[in-house]
Amino acid sequence: MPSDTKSCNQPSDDFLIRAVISGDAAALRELMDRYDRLVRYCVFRVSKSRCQADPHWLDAIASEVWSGFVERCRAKSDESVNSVSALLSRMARNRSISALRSATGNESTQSLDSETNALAQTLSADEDLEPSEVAERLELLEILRDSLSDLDGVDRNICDELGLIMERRWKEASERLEMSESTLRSRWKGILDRLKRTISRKTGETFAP
Amino acid sequence: MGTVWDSMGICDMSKSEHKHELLEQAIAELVEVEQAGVFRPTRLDERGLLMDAQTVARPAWLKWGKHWAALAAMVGISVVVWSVMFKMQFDQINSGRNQSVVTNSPDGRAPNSGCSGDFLNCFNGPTKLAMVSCQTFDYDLDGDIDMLDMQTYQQNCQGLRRLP
Repeated sequence: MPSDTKSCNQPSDDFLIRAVISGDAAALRELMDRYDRLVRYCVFRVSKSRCQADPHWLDAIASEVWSGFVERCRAKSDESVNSVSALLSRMARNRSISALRSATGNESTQSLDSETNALAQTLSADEDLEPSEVAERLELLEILRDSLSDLDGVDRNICDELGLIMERRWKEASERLEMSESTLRSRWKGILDRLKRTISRKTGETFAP
Repeated sequence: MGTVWDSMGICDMSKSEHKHELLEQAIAELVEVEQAGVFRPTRLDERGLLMDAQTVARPAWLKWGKHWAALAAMVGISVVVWSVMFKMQFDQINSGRNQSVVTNSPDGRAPNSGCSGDFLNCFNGPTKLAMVSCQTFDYDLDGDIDMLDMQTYQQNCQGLRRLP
């Protein structure tokens, strides 16, 4: 979970915000290094279909979020920010919703209904998640990403057939991977077990006996 | 961290198949997130953004200073108007005191005309200039004291000699 108060070797978020208000571009870059993925992930969660259809959508919304963040810091320079991650999560979510509503307002009724339904489902699913939980979810994905990058070539090829594996189409996946079905099942179980151990080691969680 | 992990149950070995499914779902989400470009950095002109914010921002003093500036402008304009009017009146008063143009009164008497003095001693005819002390009797302002001036003197000063 991203921490709003870094170690003593790194400047705090509050310090960086004050530097941004005074016009320090390096401070803004540091804040972006810390929270840009969270902003982009929040935008993705709200507008997944748009992000998948338009490669520039995510960049545009994220840029607007950061611009709004700078304006907000300047406008309320006398108010401290309790949690930068929570603030950016809310801004990203709200900005994405506004952009979706503006975009769907200019489209046909059919696409408007589908987008509206997707947005409603996303919002209802997100209502139970706090900004901190969204940040934790992102951290899990980042750990998984790092863990998968450590896999060897054969295991990576197996992960490429994730769609078939999740649908339990073992025979079809094994044919594509040119291995037996039993080998595929065994290697896939081994992959998952290693990922769980890696996650546990990096997060500090212990396996139940 | 415990909230998400507990809800996902990934690390709970007692439910192996279920947690495998949860982990697979997480991997599937990771693939979607990766393909959407979530892990790419946002391109932003930090310097340009901060410079724009600085140029738009106005100093706080300007907010209340505008009102004072407007009041000062009104006062300044009033002072200027009054100064101009005062100067005009002052100039008019001074021009009345320093007036050197000699104009005849409606009744024909020269403004410098007088009856004091000895007219006969000043009478010198049309070709001679009047003495300075006699210029009072130069009613027609032609430079001499002649018969025309005598006529005027008689009219204004009731003749050369007054009858008892």
